[in-house]
Amino acid sequence: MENKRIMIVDDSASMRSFIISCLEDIDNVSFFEAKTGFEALKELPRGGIALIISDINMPDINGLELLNFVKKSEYYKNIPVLMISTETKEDDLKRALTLGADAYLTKPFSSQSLKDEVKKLLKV
Amino acid sequence: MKENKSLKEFIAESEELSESIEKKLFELSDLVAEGKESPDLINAIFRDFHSLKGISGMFGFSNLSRLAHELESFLDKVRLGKVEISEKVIDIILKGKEIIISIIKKIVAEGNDSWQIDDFMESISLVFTGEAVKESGYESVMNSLKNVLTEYEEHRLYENIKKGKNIYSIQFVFLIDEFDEKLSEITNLLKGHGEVISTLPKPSDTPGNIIFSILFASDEKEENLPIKNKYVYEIEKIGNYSVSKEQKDKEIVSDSTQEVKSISNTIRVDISKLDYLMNIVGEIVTQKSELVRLIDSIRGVLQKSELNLNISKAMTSLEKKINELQEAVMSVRMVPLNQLFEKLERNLKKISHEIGKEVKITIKGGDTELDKFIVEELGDPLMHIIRNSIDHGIESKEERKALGKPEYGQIDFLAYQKGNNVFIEIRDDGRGIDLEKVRQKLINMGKINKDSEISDDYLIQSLFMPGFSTKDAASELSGRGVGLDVVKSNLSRLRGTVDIKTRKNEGTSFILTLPLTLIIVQAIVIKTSSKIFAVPISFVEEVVEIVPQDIIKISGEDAINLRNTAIPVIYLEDVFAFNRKPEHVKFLIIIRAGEKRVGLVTEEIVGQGDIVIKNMGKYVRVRGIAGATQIGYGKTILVLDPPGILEEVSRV
Repeated sequence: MENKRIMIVDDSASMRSFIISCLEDIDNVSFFEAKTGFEALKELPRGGIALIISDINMPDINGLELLNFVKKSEYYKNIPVLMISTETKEDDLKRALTLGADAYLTKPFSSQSLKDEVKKLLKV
Repeated sequence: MKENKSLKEFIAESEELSESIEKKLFELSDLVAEGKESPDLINAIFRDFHSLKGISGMFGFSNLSRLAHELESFLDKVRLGKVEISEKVIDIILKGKEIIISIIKKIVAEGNDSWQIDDFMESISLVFTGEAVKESGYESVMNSLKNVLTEYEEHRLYENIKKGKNIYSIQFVFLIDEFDEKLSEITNLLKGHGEVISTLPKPSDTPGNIIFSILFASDEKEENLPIKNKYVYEIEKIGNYSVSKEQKDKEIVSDSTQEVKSISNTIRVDISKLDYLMNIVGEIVTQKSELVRLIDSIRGVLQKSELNLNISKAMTSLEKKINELQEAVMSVRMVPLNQLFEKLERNLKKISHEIGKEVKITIKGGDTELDKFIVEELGDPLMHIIRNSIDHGIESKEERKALGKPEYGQIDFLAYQKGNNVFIEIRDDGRGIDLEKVRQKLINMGKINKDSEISDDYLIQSLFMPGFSTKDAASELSGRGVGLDVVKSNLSRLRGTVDIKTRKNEGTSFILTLPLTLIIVQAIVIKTSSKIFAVPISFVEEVVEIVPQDIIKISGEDAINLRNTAIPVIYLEDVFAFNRKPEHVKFLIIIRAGEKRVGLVTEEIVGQGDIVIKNMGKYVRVRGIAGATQIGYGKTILVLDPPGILEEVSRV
């Protein structure tokens, strides 16, 4: 079966590690970890990304800017994007949905809910 | 699930965050004291609390999360201008940071985060007396932009408009591989003249390009911007406002009762102390081997007795403990290759930008560990190899297209451990080495005859010859060669070897073989012509029992037929010019270095064990000898260096 590469964009190493530990037992997935939005932008042209999971609050470009970029691009607009933020920033989440986010989760979320969302987006 | 690992990361990260918060708070208090504004700094502190809240919530530390949340919202009010920054505000945040540190310590010690935080929470709410600033009148300005700005960025935009700054939207087009460097160059330049509110990436119609639009607020007129005439860009001035707001000065005194104890469980040690420790362990290991030998010989005398049994029990457990000690000390010195690989990756990216070739880099096995000393010494040779790959191996974009290869060159770093060796492979998908040109070069140098049949292996090996590869030769070959002899000698000092595999138009691999550690090695001790040598076991493929008739002549050279493969046979007597031959041909030690194999004729196998290799001093360098070692009391023997021997014999 085809391997699905999930890009995780978060400046927190433990957050990335947590996300991976939630998802690593889904079959045929691999991960690319980006510490910043810039790293994510650089990886996209290399291709093969099946899903993007991104935090909103990050250094250099924020998650909304990354989302806007992906959804406006001819090449990447079909990649599903799952946005993650905290409950206080509901306003940011509203903006994310306006910009075309495919799903969102608010911290703290359970590992099961993340897994469910991801499976839905990957259609597995 | 790797929850344990995640938890460790959580503790390290939350400690880092609190340190970062503290550092920024001190910086901030200095700025506040000077009456300066620093929205970036306040935003960065806000973000740290935000991250802390996020991760502690995820790891189920709800108390810590609640506290971080309270501080985050407090900071949010500060950065959105709803609370004025002051000495008192900074004090409160510092106090909060200290409580956070205490809670992290509690988590480390007891695994839970219960702590009395209500009093502190109340003190925050007492400070919060500010009223929300009404934000209006600017929505019409940038409706399109508004959605992608976070609430904070929006606030900064508003603040700048209120102050009557000029607001510019500046568009740049970059290559996707270098946008981060260019962008930070530009934003640093701009920051000296105003505030960068947001940087928004946009897809470009040209693949490989990316558009960035920077939202910039400044007092400067368009023609005075520092980027003028330095970069190509499109600029648009947005809106025109003329309201102003005065600044307030505040004094600040920082907290001095800081906790100095760190929570993390690592210490830094001078490597020379570890060297010393390792040497002592090495000596113990040697003494142990001698002791084992002595005990073995008295056991014969004691015969079957209780004493005999007890001695051997005691010896076995001592041996076990010494082995454990050796492994423990060795493991302290081991570091993963990741850091080195990442450094090389950064360098490689820099070079590829400089020379305009684009490469994709993959790292595999970065967690493979090697002795710290070896890792340190590997930087130069690996850099050499990588430089070669990008300069000579990877073709230009046009060439690659013409060959039907992907536009991006591919360079892989691979590392893995096998037995007592670590293998590091640097692989590119470039043009490969043109062996025909190497042959021509060798003919020109007078090293080989025009008509002689030369194996590819020989041609590849000659790349490592000193003097083969001057700069001239490299450009003439339009292939590799710059300083590969240096690579080889660097590696042989580490008792490692380097091999090349190359295929035309498919690429070249450099494969490095290295021992795990340099200090203690396992060795076979052999005896020939009454001389004793130690052969490091990592180079020994097998030991074969033979009779003199097994040695045959193949094209005039001694060889042996081992399972239908011809292996050259050599005599140490010849290598070191003893002017004699062994009396009894009994064993053949098959040694391998890289791809090459050779059999060493020997009369006797004396034993096997751990040895500590001592260098023979700076000035004594004999090819084929790695150093000396002591076996038993005062008896010193030479340790062979198989790669050196192989080189010596293939030079004929």
